[in-house]
This record gives sequence, C-alpha cells and structure tokens, in this order.
Amino acid sequence: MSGTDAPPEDCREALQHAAAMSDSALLLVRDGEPPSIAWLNPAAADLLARDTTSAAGVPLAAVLTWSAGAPLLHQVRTQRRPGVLTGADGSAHAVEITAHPVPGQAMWAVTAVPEHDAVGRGRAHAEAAEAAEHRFLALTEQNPVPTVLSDVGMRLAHVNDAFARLTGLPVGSLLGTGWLRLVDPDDLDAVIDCARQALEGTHADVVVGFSTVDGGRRLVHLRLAPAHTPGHGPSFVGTAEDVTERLVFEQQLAYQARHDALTGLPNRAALFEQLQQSLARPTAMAGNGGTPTPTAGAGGPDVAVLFLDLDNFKTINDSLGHDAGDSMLVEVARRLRGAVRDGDVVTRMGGDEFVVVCHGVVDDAEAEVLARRVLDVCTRPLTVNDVLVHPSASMGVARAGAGHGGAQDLLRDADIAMYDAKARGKNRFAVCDERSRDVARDTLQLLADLRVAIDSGQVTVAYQPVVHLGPVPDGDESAPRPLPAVEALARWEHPTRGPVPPTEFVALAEGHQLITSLTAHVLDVACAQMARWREDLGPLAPARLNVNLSALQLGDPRLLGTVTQALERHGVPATGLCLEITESAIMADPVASRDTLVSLRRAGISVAIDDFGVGYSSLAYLQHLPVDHLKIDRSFVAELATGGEGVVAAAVISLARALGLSAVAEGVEEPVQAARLRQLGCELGQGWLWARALTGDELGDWVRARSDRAEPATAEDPS
Amino acid sequence: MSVWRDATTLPGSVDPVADGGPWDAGRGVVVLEELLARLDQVPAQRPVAHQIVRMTRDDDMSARRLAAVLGADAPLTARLMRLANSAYYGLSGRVRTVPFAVTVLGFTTVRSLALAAAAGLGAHDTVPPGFWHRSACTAVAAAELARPLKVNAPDAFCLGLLVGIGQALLHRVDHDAYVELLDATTDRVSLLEAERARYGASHVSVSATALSAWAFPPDMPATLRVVDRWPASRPTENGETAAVCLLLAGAVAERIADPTGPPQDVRHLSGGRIGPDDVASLVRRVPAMAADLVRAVTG
Repeated sequence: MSGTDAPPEDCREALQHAAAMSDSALLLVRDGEPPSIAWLNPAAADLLARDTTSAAGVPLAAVLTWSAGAPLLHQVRTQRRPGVLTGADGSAHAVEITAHPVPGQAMWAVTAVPEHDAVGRGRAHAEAAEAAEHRFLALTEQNPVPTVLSDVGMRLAHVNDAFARLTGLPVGSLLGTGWLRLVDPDDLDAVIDCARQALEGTHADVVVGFSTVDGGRRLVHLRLAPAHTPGHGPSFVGTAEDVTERLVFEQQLAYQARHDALTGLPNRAALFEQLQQSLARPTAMAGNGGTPTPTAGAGGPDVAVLFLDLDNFKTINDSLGHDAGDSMLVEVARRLRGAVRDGDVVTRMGGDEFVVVCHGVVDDAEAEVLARRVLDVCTRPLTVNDVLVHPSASMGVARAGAGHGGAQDLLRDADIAMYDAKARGKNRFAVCDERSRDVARDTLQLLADLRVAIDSGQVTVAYQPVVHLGPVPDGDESAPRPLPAVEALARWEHPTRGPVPPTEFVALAEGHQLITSLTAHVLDVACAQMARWREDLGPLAPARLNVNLSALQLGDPRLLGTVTQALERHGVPATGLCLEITESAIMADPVASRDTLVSLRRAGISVAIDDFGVGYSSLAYLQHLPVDHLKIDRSFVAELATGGEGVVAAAVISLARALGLSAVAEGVEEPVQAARLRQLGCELGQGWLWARALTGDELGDWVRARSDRAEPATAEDPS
Repeated sequence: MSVWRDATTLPGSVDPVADGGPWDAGRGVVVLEELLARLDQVPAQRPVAHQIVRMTRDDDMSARRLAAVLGADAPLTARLMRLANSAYYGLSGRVRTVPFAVTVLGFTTVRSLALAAAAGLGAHDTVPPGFWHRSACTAVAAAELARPLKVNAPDAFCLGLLVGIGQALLHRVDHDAYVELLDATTDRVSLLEAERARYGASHVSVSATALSAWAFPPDMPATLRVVDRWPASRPTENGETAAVCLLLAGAVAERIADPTGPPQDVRHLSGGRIGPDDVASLVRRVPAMAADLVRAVTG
C-alpha cells in the first residue's frame, strides 16, 4: 500500500508545515490510559479554544465525544463517524471525525471537519450533479434525435422518447439490456464493439439494424461517446439516428452506379472492380495441372475473360426499332446468366458488348469450351416484335497471364481477340494469341504515326480531274473549257512502311477520333491548292474542288465552321467546293444528314452523293435531300468495259436527270466506257482514262497541256 | 484500544478484554468485535481485494490499472469475469479481458465483489441457504426500481448485493446459533428483531458497519442505516430515496422467496411512486436475471 511509503528525510519539515497550514483540524493522539492529545494544528486549536502547548496531554475524551458504533480508535482500521468537539470556552462543534491509525506507532491521526462543511460540500456537489443531470435529461427528452445514456456496461439508464418512438416500445422495456434484444443478431458484435470503444474512452460509431415492435427493420447510426462518473467508472452517452431512408437511397444509388439499368447486369465499373479482385486472387493452376501457353495464363490467376459483341446489332436497332434492340439485349443477358457457371460474372460493358469473367479456367481448352457454350446460347433464334431474329456474336477470349498488369490489360486482349473474330467473318470466337496481339500492337503504332502525320503534314493531298463527257453547252467547241472539278484524295507516305492505303488509314482515323483532324487537314491543303490554281491557271483552273467527308462527320456540329473557315482562310468561294458523302453514310441517319446538308447548301457549298448505287437509298428520301451530284459507283462503270448493258449506270444517270442532278461516273478507265456513258447522257466522269491522282503542280501542268491540245471535245473524248 | 469502546455500545454489552471471559454468544458486542476483527485480518488474507476497495475510491482510477492489480487474485478475477459475461450486462460470452470486465461492471460493482471476497464469502457452504439468490434478487430489483425512483442504478444494484453481507458474516462467525435463529424466524421483521436481541444489532447494521469499515462512500452505509431503522422509522422524502429503493427491492426479493407471505404496502412506502402491479411485474422478471448473476458469483 502506498501509504506505507516513508517520505524522504528532507520532506518531514515540509509535511509538518503542511499539516500546520491545513484548514482541517488535525490532532495526533497518543495511545495510553487514556489516549491523549500529542499535538494539534492551529485549525484544531481554534476549534478547541486552546493553544498547542496547553492542549498537549489532554485526554481525547475530554474534548471529543462521538456517536454509536465500534470504538473510534482502532488499531488497524480507519474509523469515520460524526462527533462533537468541545472547546475550552464551552463551545461545541459538530464534526465528522476520521481516525487513522499510524502504522507501527501507538498513535492515531484524527481529523475533524465541521459537519456543516462536510455535509454542505457533499450536498452541494450532489445537488449540482443532480441539477446538471436534470438539465441533461430534460434536453435529451426534448431532443428529436434518439438518445441513450448508459449506467454500467451495455445497460442503459436512460433513453429518450425519440428512441422509444424509433423502436415502438415503451421506455421502460428499453432500459438495462432491453434495447439489445432489438439489435439484429448479426450486428450485435458490432454494437458491443462500438460500446466497448466508448467505455474505453474513444468515440465510436456503427450502422446497425434494429427491429421494431411492428416487425419492421430500421437502419440506425449509433454514435457513442465516452462518459465518466467519478467513483463509478466509465459509461457512455449516444445517439441512434434512423438512417434507413438515406441508406436505402444510397444503396439504390450505389446499385445503379454499378448495374446496367436495362439488363440488371453489373456494368463497366463493376466489371473492372470484379476483375481486379479476381486478378488479385492466388492461382489454383498448379494444383489443377494446367499447362499454360507462353502468352496467356502463365503465372497469372485462373481467370479468363470472354468479350462478346453482337454482330450487326445496329441493323436490328435500325430496322426493328430501339425497343426491339433493347429486348434483344435483355434476352441475351438472360441467356448469358443461364449459361455461365456458379461464380462466373456476366457484365454489360455498354451497347451490344458483354463481358463474362470466368474463374478456375486453367488452360485455353477450358476457356474455349466456355466460349463455345456462351456463343451457342447467344446465337439461338429469338423472336423480337414478332420477327424471328437469328442473332450472332463475335467473341474474344483472353486468359490472365503474368503480362497482365490489371483488368485493363486483360480486357484489352479480349477486345483484340474479339476484333480478330469479327475480322475472320463474325459469329465465332477467337482466343487472344501472339499474332492477334501483334496485329493490335501494330495498329496502335500506326495510329500513333497517323496522329503525327496529320500534325506534321506527312498526309498529302492528290487530285484527280473530273472532266466533261457531254458536248459544249453553247456549241463553241473552240473556246477553252475549264475543268469542271477535281477530287481531293488524301495520301499518306509512311516514313518506313511506304504508302498506306487510304481505306486503311481513314478507317483508323474514323475508329480513333482522328477523322475530324484528318478532314480539316485535307480541306486546308486542298483549299490552299485551289487558291494557287485560281491564281496560276486563271480561267483554266478547276471550277470546283471535291472533298470527301466521313459518315461520322455528318453529326458533327462543328463541320460547317471548319469548312467555311478553310474557304475563308484561302479565299476560295463556297461555290468552288463540293463535299462528297457516301450513300450509306447518309442513309444511316437520313434526317440528321439532311439537316447537315441543308446548312452546307445554304452556305453555298454543293453536295455529291458518293458511291451511289451500292447502298440502299430510299428514293423517297433522295428526292428531298439537298444534293447536286450523284457519283456512280465504279463497279457499275466497270460493267461497261466488259460488254455489259450498264443497266444500273443507266438507271442512275436517268434518276439524276429526273431529279435535276448531274451524274458523275467514277473509275472510267477505258474509252468504251466513256463512249457508253456519253450515250447514256452522263455529264461528267473521272478515272485513269484521263488521269490518275496528281499532285497540285502536276494537275496544273495537266490542265495546261490539255488546253494546249486543240479540240477540247476530242481531248475529252478518246473515242 | 480496549477501553475505547463506543460510548453508545449496545445495551448489555460487555468488554471482553476487561471481562477476561471466553466467547459469549449472548453478548452481541463480542460477536461484532469478532466480525470486525475478521475484517481487520482481510488486508493480510486478501490483499488484492483490500487494495481494490481502496483503489476504487479514487476518482481518477482507470479500469486498466484496476485490472492490473486484480490479476494477482485469480478467484476474484474469475468471479468478475463471470459476472461481466452474465446476461444481466448484455454481453454474454463477449467479455474476454479483465479491463473490459471492470469497465462493464463499473467500479461500484467491482468494489462490492471485492468486499464480498474480502469478507470470505464464497460459494453456498459459507453463506446461509439462498443467500446469493436473495442478494441477487434484491440487487436486480433495486436496479430496476432505481429509475422510477430517480436514484443511481449501479449504486442501488450494489447496495442490494451488499445489504445482506452482515447476515453472511453472522452466519460465519456464529454459525450454529445463527442457523437456529434463521430457522426460528419467518419474515424480515422478526429476523431483524431476533438479531438485535442476540447480537445487539441487525445484520443490516452489520452490513453498514462493514461498508463503513471498508470506506465505501459514506452515503452507502448511511442508506443501510436508514433501511435498518425501518419500519420503526420511515425514510424521509429528502435524501433517503435510495433507502426506499432498497426496501422495495427487499420486498420484491421477499415476495419471490415466499409468494404466499403477506404483501407489503409498497405504495405507502414509496410515497405512491411504486404500486403493487410494479412489484408483481418485478416478481415475474427478476428471478431469471438473478439466477444468472448467482451462477456468475458462485461459479
């Protein structure tokens, strides 16, 4: 016991001084017959009306009486009881006496505190505490937030009316441990842990389920704060906020953020999360004896990804409507869910793309079995809007390997394989291998090069003249006839690969948001050249510059601005420009296309429909489209060289005439084609018969040379 | 010390030392002296329990420091752990550390159990039959009654647990005679009268003395003294509600022990705050809670 620790020698005087200065009366009583006062401090001397010298040796009984109980001076035990100190002047003081035996000595230390002080202090403290508690309880009682107050452990001493309303039970039944019966059994440990933290002095909170008297369930945010009652130990005070609606709403939002609204499948965000978790799992491959390929699966977890894209889904949407397309997606989602194994996860990436994450796939053979099964269920016929549809899908398969740093990498490989499957004819699956990965890597490199090429001017423009086929309108055959048009054609001479076919790099640009830059570049270069021709060639300069537009640009609201700025920049009139758009691009969205074409026409720019005849133009649309020229596809022109009747070419020319448009024949290579076209009434033509695509300077020379040759009609009519 | 007998020592008491006579069961003061002497021996016999009682008086005491000391008294620690894991505290089986057990029980209860340990009260063989059950019923009922009466529930619980400790002490010190005395009395009032007749003080008074001797907060033995004076003297409205709570809890415990006994006028005793229906409700609910406590305390 610490009380037995002796003070250091040099503290004794200080202790004596402290005792002498104390406000409490202190008497040292020596054992004897009878026990008598050995020493008293000034406070005791005041009460006894004696000085310290005269009090020494006075029997204790002469100055102190006390009430019933065991003897006051006990050898080993502290005694405390009320008593009366009697002063030498006859005064009596009610005191509370405490007698401490001094260890190892026949002596007691007796303190005497005036009773009114002791009682008053105690009562004042008690009253203050009671008032504080009353205020606290009054406050919590009115508080709309459910509030609890513990006494010991998990036992509640107080709950307010709001807490009772939350549970539907009367206050009385919630006190003690009654409230714990309402906590969801699964959440009880969390509540206890929360209370433990509060009891150990830390603020804590937890969201738990509470059942209510009507059989309902509320989600409650329990926030507990430590409280301490001196002498009683720790307790807690807390609030229990009903967060059911908020959490349910948040859960709905969270669900919606991670799920596709149409199919109910996990969405792209959830897929990435799921895939990251799957890739983080340890592999079971070694135990299954799988033999990984060098490029996939080796060293990675046993995860495979099936990346599925519905073939020709756009056709379903366009022909049967978006509702039908949605119905098909829902049905495919349902089939996929039914086809996969327990633990596999079906997700919708977006549009008509689905991704299945499969676990425990130890080799390519197993992945192919799964892919075949999934593809099989997806391609079974289904009825949409009373129409029997035979869906097909292309699927890419990739297994996780050591080279896959994360979900993105694995999905990229599955995507590569999916495009490989498409390229091989659709309605099949392909496993990502080194070859397809190389192709994809090569494409990525080419894309990067194209970006540089556009910015640095590596992409050049060549020009193919468009010539008159018909007779001179005013009959003056000797007058030089200006070239009616040139078609601007983009060319890319790759520094290491050599020339890249336009079909390849234009498709690349279209697929990677570069088409706008490419078109703007071509427009700028071609307009600049047009301005030079107009200056250099004067009346012999081409009357019109034809520039191709991508289908993707028909919906681009910046298109008109891009075009007019290029014209203004180089001082070329709008009437000197014709934009060529393929038939299929226009028919993909005729309404939107019409709006774009109308705005171009209003600006003075003419419009040609390219490759006419190979698409599925609706004549009803065609007659309302603001176009000026129909360009007959080269395949129909080619027929004319092989003795064909040229029925389609004749029909297109006739149609153009009926609609008041001019017809332009593409790909004219033989004089016989030109002659036949002229017979059919086609006004304009272009092709190797007259010139291949030329540089700007070459075209200038070509025009001058053509002008120098006498009879224009002869020059333009090889026949 | 022998001459420094309390001036108001019980009538008929004799100074055993001055008398020089042997043990005299007929002289109450002798028995009380014996009881107190036994308490005096405790620091040596159960130093941990003694230290715990002393430590829990410190307002700045922490559960961790108490637990560190408790570790040296395995039986007391085991009893604390059992009690903290009882259903009464709502944590059945989840209290795994001594500091948390101290936290769960609260210092007052820890001090009460330490006192019981210090007084040598163990399992059934050292206490009167039904002692722990009655104590537990009184404690639980007192805690339940604390709120409507606006008294501190943990204190009420502990007073309920300790109000009978004097009885256990008498049973140990004067075993045969006290057993006879218990057999010969039928209710609380007659028991207290018989105790006063034999020992000069009732067991409630002995309990109060024990609490004083062990320096429990003064209001706790004071409450027991008010309880001891009832029914001769009714608790006052001002400041003695804890005694009312304890008396009502005793009535509940008595009703549980003897459902056929005459009902007490609890409405009069509580100043109208507690009615017979409240008591009936407690009589139904308390035994189950108390049984769990008894198992915890007696092991």
